[in-house]
Amino acid sequence: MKKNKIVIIGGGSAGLACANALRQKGIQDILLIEKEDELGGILNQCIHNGFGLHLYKQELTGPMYAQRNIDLFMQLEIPYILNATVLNITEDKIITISEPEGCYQIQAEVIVLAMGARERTRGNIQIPGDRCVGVWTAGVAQKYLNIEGYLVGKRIFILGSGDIGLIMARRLTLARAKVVGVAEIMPYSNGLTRNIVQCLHDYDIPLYLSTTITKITGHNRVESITLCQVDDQRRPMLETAREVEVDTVLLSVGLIPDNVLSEKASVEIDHRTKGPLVDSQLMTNIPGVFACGNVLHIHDLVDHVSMEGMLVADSVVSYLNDQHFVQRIPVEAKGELNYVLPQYFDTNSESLLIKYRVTRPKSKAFLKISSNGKTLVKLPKVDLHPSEMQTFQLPKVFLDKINYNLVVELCDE
Amino acid sequence: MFDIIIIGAGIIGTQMAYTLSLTSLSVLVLEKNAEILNEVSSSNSGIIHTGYDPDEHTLKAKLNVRGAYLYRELCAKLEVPLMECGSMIVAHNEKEIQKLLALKVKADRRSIPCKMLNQNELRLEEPHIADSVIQALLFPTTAAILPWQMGYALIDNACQNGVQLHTSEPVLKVERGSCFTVTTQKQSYQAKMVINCSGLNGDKVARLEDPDYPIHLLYKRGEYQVTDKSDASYINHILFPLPTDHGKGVLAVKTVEGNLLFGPNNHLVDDPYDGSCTIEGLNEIDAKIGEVIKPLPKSRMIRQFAGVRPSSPTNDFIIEDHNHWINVIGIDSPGLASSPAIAEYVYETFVKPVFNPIMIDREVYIHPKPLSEMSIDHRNQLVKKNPSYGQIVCLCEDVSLQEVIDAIHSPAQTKSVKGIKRRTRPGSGRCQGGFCEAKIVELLSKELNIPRQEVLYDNDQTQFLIPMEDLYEKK
Ligand SMILES: Cc1cc2nc3c(=O)[nH]c(=O)nc-3n(C[C@H](O)[C@H](O)[C@H](O)COP(=O)(O)OP(=O)(O)OC[C@H]3O[C@@H](n4cnc5c(N)ncnc54)[C@H](O)[C@@H]3O)c2cc1C
Repeated sequence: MKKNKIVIIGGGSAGLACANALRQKGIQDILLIEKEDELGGILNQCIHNGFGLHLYKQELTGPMYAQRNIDLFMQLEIPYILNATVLNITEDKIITISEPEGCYQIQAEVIVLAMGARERTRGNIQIPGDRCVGVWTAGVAQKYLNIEGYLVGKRIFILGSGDIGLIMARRLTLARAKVVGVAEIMPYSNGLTRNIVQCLHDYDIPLYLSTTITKITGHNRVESITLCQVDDQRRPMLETAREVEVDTVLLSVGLIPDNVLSEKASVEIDHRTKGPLVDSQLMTNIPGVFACGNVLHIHDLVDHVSMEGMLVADSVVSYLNDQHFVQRIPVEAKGELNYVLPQYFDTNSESLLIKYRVTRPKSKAFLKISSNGKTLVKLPKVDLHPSEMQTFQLPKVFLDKINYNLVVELCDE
Repeated sequence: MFDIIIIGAGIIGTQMAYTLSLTSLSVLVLEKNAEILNEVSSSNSGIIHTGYDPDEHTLKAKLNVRGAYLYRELCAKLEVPLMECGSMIVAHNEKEIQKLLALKVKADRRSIPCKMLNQNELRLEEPHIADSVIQALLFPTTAAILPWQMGYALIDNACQNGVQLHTSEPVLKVERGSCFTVTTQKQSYQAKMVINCSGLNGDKVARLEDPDYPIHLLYKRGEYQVTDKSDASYINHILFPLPTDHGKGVLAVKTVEGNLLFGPNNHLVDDPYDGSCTIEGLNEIDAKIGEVIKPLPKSRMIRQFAGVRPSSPTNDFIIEDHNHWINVIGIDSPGLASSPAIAEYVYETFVKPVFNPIMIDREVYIHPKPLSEMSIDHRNQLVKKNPSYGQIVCLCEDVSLQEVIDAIHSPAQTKSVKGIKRRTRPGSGRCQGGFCEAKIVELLSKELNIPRQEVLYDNDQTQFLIPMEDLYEKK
């Protein structure tokens, strides 16, 4: 069996950033595996701009951002295979690959999971009605339009105000389709504020909050949808039902980290992030298996994805230098937090970057970080929104003070 | 002139076509949809019932028991997977136990193997069975198939043996003279005998031949929830509540591919093509499945669908000869399980006496095994011969490019995204086509030599892509 020191699964932003950083740290034996026929991942279909503000201080389009990373990757001459699908990984880090050259296994010393995410589908959110043609996830419609050059419909309704949905509302309008509206079941939007303004307001596309689709009707093709307002328990209020004629429904109802492979290797998954449980080195419960990017948790900005890839590169180097991360201290989320990452702090870490999301919009709150009952940090936060991931670098002076547990809490005072 | 025209390519039509293709008869199958097996036969539980349930002295009882027997032979011959997982009917109280015992008596009389299980025994076999269950009746020989896998195997063999299949041709008119003239929107065809296997349209097609045909079918819809394959080990048997007058109840079944189905309920609908799911219906399934198993969270569901049963008012199959016009209608459950026996019965009772055809020994067409079930070495050998076997188009279900191409060019051909999904699975996994649909469209377009905007999603008139150039030209 062929051996590779480091195998990176996925050639999107996370995988590329990790590979580049590893090579820049002098690691030679790297192999990156990508299932598509080009590198870059999902960014290739995101032709709008707004990428790279944090990392490059520039507004790039998705393909431009990807290309920067690909150019560097090529310049560093890192080995990679395209059209290659990983079919299986084992706990012993044996990777099964199928590609046009063959179907075979390789033994890795380190695996970096960077497979990205998939979109939540109609079946996941269970919209009743006919099973007619004309219901797609926003990302699929985006691919058809931006990569293949085809529109999927002419009168379109978008369910979910996630960023892909908002971006697609504008994109479809520019492509001369009629976007009739966007509905969001929550009382607030799940997209970035700038996208609400630039993609909906600027094009007079209505956003219906606390509203959902309760039925899709159509014989062969979608003919109409039933829109319904929901109460504060998110239950449809049937007396508000109204029918809207459309030929297409696009769903932008969230991404799910794609961890089917991780699960095959017995990587433990957090039921909240739907990504692996990791420590502060972003290592999973399987020693030598790391995760970064959307496979770990869903990001709203690609810059953070790239940075996560680089962080994994650092961790991989220390792992290879035989630093065993033995003591793992659990990190717990408390209060109105959807999740906190990492889920463990390992005592060998020289830094701790905490990432978290709130469960609902908060104009004012305090982030309190405590260990073993003692408060380490408490700082005021304003304008927190579930759609925006927050980060906090715990000052180094506190690292020594962590013992027993670390609690990250959002509190009102 | 054909000897026989079969109307409808559901499981009954394809069984009929296969049976007749082993003889010297010339046969034409007319199917109204672009894709075969796209109605009742593709939206059901896929269970090969043993035949304990139907009332005594009915065609259902006789043909179900015989059908279950014939499936063994047929599946072995055509190499179609048959999962003999067994089934259990559960009881929650003393009254229900009495009903189980009555069923057991009926099963014993029909020589169907079965056995009562007590609490301990049944929990050992089914750790996730509902807490309220106290006893169960085990039928070890109940099996499951994927109905379309069977149907495609049958039609591919039939086509290879010389049967003609015309899809997208609904039968609109029938005239009786010295022979039958059957007319679709495209053409008229002549035949000496017609077999009406048109499922939900059965009574209406019967009225094309006899405007006074008295029977009106009832349409009973059943809705389902589907889980991802990763829940496959949640149950080991097919788990039923006690049957009632409203059918076999909301059950839990593991499909051959490992997804779990929860359903169906049973509600009368006016429109036979109303295969929609409702909030109330899905809630009903969520509630009722809890009487059989410990429910799984809603987030595990990847799909919902519904099927409509074409039921006869007598609650039995109607298989009858009107002077060489054969009606095979009212084929609701256990129609799938009975289908090989239905074809045999029609052949022996109505076809053979008229034509007395010669039986011909045909070579069997075996579907290629899915790569996902092969060893790495075996796959590697295939890839070395043809690199397209190495390129994976569907990640969730592990399907290669070449397998899709092979499916498109199978003897009965496939021309829609849905057809590809049924034949080789891309789109049936957890991403529901998110990753692979565009690739499937591209392959269909290339292999069928049509532009992408002409590729069908499902039935006729389901082309769905609009090229950007078109939009800009119009303005
Ligand atoms: C919810 C549900 C659950 C079930 N579960 C089971 C089970 O577990 N086990 C079991 O044994 N059975 C089960 N059944 C029953 C089984 O599915 C049916 O008995 C069987 O599929 C009927 O097959 P068919 O060929 O008669 O009908 P269909 O599959 O509907 O085929 C009829 C075909 O005729 C075509 N057609 C119609 N009109 C015309 C026309 N004018 N011209 C040309 N073509 C025409 C249609 O397009 C269609 O392709 C279930 C049914 C339902 C609805």
